[in-house]
Amino acid sequence: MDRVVPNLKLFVILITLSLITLILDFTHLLKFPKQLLSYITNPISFGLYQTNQKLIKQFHFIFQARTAGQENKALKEQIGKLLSENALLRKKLAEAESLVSQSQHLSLQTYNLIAARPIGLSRYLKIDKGTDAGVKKGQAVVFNDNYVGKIVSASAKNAAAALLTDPDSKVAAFSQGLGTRAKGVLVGQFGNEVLMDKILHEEKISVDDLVYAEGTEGFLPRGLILGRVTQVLERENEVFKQAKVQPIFDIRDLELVFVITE
Amino acid sequence: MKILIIILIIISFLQSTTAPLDLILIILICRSYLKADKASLYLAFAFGQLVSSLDLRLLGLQSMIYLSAVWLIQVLSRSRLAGNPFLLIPISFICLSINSLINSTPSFPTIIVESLISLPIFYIVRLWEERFTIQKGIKLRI
Repeated sequence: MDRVVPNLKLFVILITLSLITLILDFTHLLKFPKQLLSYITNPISFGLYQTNQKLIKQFHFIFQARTAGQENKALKEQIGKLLSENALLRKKLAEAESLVSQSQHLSLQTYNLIAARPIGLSRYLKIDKGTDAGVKKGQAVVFNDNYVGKIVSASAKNAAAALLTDPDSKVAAFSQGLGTRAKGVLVGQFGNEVLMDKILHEEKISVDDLVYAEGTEGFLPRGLILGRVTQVLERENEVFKQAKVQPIFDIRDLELVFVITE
Repeated sequence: MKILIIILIIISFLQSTTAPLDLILIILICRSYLKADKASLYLAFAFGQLVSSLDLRLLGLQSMIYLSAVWLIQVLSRSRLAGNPFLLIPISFICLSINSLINSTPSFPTIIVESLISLPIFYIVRLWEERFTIQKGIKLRI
């Protein structure tokens, strides 16, 4: 029997003992020994539990650090995307503002304007609109009330405009200030300044006078601002006076320029 | 044996505080599978009482479960199939499921994990029993 069913006698005894313990515990007769045992076991269990909690915290910190690293990387990518999106929006806003501002100065009903982005500046100002958009050689490039330049060459997708400072540029102009008025020709100089030449001695011109376009060339309207007088050059032995004129704004700051097509 | 008892005491404290696995039952199952001796039954009774006390359950109930599991495995270990250690996994699964069903709501993912770790535990116990316990039958001839 013991070969087939091993330790049956002992098993029955121990099961009976367990059953007796169960009944005794169920009837709360083992309350005192249980309490006594808990006095010994509880501090050990508490110590183990505390150690376990501390260990879990340490490991949790390691996992958190790893997750934080991944999150940081993802956030950096997100910031990069947002910055680029922000830059694009700012650019579009500036363009929209330029467009609104332009429509306030030169009426869109009177002039046919093509908005173009400056895409390069060396001797000529390069813009991103060409013959496909209706840009032609000889057309005026403006910004608000200011004359920027004249289209000298145009391809299908872009065009180049000669600025006022270009030595080939010549525009009939007049200056006007408080009680002063003079006529002349604005000639481009090398550098950032323009010279207003052929001013008669009897005509009055002074520093800070604004210089406007006469509009006699045909491609640009009369009254466009060309610049501000910075210095008057007057010599007794010369027939004409001259004045140094500086453009009012820096072309590099512009987001949009407008080509007057008609 | 003393070392085994100390290890089992430590494990019973760990199981009641930190590890949600019934490692005592697994070790007892593995030992019973290896050896059909009386010590396994004593251990099952004693540690059943200790685990019940630590888990604040009714004393005796856990002992009965452990004793039943150990005794059944001792009976099974006499069968021809017992030579294959992989049989331990389904046996452990059944014993652990019954234990979980009686004590609380069974969590089968935990039971599966427990059943799977019973195999490496079995090899550890076998190593221990073969290498680190004194065999009464082996005597040095002089």
